Amino acid sequence: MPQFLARDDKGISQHLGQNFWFQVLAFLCWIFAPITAPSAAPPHGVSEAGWQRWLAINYYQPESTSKSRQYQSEIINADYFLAPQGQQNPEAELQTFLQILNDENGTETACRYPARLSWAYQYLAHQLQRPRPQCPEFEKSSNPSTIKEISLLFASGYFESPASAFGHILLKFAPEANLFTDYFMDSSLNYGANTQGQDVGVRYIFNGLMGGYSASYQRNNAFLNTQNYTARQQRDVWEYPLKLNTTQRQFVIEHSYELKRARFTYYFLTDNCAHRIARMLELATHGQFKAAGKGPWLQPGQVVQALQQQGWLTSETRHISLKAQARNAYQRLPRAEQRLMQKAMQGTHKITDLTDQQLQLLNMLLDTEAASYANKAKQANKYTKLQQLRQEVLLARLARPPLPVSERLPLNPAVSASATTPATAAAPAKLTVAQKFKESAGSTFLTYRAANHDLLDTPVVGQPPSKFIFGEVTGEIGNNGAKLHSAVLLDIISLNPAPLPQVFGTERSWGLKVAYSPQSKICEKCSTAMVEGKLGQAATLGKNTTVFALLGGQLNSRETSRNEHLMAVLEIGAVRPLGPLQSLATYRASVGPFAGSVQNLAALELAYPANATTTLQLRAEHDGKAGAVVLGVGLELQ
Amino acid sequence: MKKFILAVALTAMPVASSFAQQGTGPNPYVECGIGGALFPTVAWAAVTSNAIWDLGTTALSSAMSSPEMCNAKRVNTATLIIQSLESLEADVANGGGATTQALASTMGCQGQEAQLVSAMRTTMPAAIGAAGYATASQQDRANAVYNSVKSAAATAGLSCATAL
Repeated sequence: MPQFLARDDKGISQHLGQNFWFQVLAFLCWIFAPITAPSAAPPHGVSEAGWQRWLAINYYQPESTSKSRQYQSEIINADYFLAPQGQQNPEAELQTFLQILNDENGTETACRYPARLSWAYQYLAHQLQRPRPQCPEFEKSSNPSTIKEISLLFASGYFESPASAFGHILLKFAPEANLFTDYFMDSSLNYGANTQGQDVGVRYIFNGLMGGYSASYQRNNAFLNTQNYTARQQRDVWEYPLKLNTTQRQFVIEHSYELKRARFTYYFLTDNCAHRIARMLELATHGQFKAAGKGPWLQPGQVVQALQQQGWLTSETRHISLKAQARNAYQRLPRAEQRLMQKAMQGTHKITDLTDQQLQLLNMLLDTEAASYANKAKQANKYTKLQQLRQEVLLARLARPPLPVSERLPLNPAVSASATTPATAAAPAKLTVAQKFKESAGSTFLTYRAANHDLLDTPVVGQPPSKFIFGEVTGEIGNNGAKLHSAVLLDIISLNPAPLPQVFGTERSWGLKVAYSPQSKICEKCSTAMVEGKLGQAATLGKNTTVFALLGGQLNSRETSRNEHLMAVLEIGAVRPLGPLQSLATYRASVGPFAGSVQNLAALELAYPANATTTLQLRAEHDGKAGAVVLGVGLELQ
Repeated sequence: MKKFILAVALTAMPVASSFAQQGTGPNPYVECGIGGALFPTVAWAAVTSNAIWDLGTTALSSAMSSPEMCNAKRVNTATLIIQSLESLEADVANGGGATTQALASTMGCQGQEAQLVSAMRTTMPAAIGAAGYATASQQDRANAVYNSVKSAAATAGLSCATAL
């Protein structure tokens, strides 16, 4: 890659179009610059194992050409490297690093690379003329001997941000207790795109998908990371301490320190936080841990599942979101007390008449609503009213004695052993074989979903049912041969059921589908390209049933007996677990506003997890004239 | 009885206390450039978890560039307060929790959390009850609470009050 691209902090796409002639000149220099082709074999004095490790920790990837074998580091900023062509030449980079290491004046530079130092004193000790240098700055900020534990943090999926729909993972460093202050700012390792919040809409999505952003590792504060997720974004955070030994922990600390200066190219699907955090752990364990999935990309949840399956997790802690915490407390109240809380939120019940527990919960309910406002467009009047009420509640609580510890709401509730958690949730990729039974003729469906999170999947504990399918292809084999039945680019249903009183705003359910697809399994020849959007509301009935109603419209590419180019859509449904089964019942009405045609479709779907990776599925549907039953077997692809 | 206690508590607050007055004095959010960097002007960008939201690193850079005014403890404490303001307020109101624990550790008050929280329960009503607090910006509210924390640590005679 030309270095003028690699040096950029802002992403490649932003570079294009700036300083055009400089770029042309730089490109020509790059083309004609003499490049010493490195050999594939290790340099003299370096063992094969040592050489492979050097290549790995500097992210060199082989690039085969017709004449010679060359390398290119995945690190895109040339100033990370010490040799002028260190990005492409691992041997030259190694020689330069060793020269610096043997130079008494090179200590400061060498100390920028603590993992390289450990590598050098492991594999090349006999070539080094000085003992390992002391690195006070590194020791002060990251002394590995004081990190007693490294955990993986998984923040649950977040539909408000497309980049976080599948969740996010990062590492947490737990230092000795009395060192908390020193490590306050550096107790977690995050990897993400440097979007800088400037791009919006299509440009943001395009850059995220196509490598338009650079990305880097950042050391942040683990407490505030968790706080941001649980209190502001209303997401659960799951914490998994890792079974890493001292050497492995040391590598993570050292390597993350040197990588603070490195930049990579960000691809939302194929080179994201999941890849880079997993890569860090793969390097730390010398490949004993492997996160590679069978799908074309890696999602954060897959890394958690791979760690669980390969025995790297010691325990599991759920840091419950503020919203879930408030919901749990609110649902335990008798109906009369729930009404009282609603009145208090509406300002029709005196705050000072509430009990200590009620005040505590009311504050939580207000903070939950305030966080929702902070994440969306603020409505000034309502927000002010909410903050004034919150102020009154805080003052009332402060005027009373502190709550006994036993009466404060629990922050990390115990997770039932049988509950579905990120470590045991369904794998995102799934292959399904299904047989359709219909009066006229049956057929066989073969479906591959690259990223799957379905209303029929058992949701992770604390999460409402939701659907997020990103890439699904279904082929149909029938009497007339094989054909493409459907291709789904995106199919999202975010139900957001609202069991909490909402006085200052309303949580909406919404759906978006971009696909080539038929309206039902009954119709044989009505697949059409479509964009469908829906908006509505959902509610939780009892403990486990979620009901929803969505209203929207669909634009079609093709007019058939069952489709018009423009259709209004009403969808109502209910999701409910029935013992081990997950059930979904829906009724859908499609209305062509111009022709006045109305089509109805009622469907019942059941999913039964036969074992950890296999699901039996049934879908029965009827449109008032005809019906079909589809029986299938779904195989999760980890 | 509860009404009486509340009435006494409210009466005990400085009558002339206003939010503007709470905001006077040293302001680490302005001096050390913490607030603006942590809360971007593009609202949704602040909640994009996969983007690098500049927790910590910006504050540390500021601290290093101005060590006299923005020592690490001061910056860390101010950062914790603005980033967890609502949780901190709730924890103090209830008598303690994870956020007050983190605050005590950040200030170097390990083992003195109970005294710190107890003192904050005395100083916080004046900050939170000041006119205009409910409608003030996150940064201004954080500054009021920061000063209240500082005052609480000093009032309680905690050694960790130094250098705040």
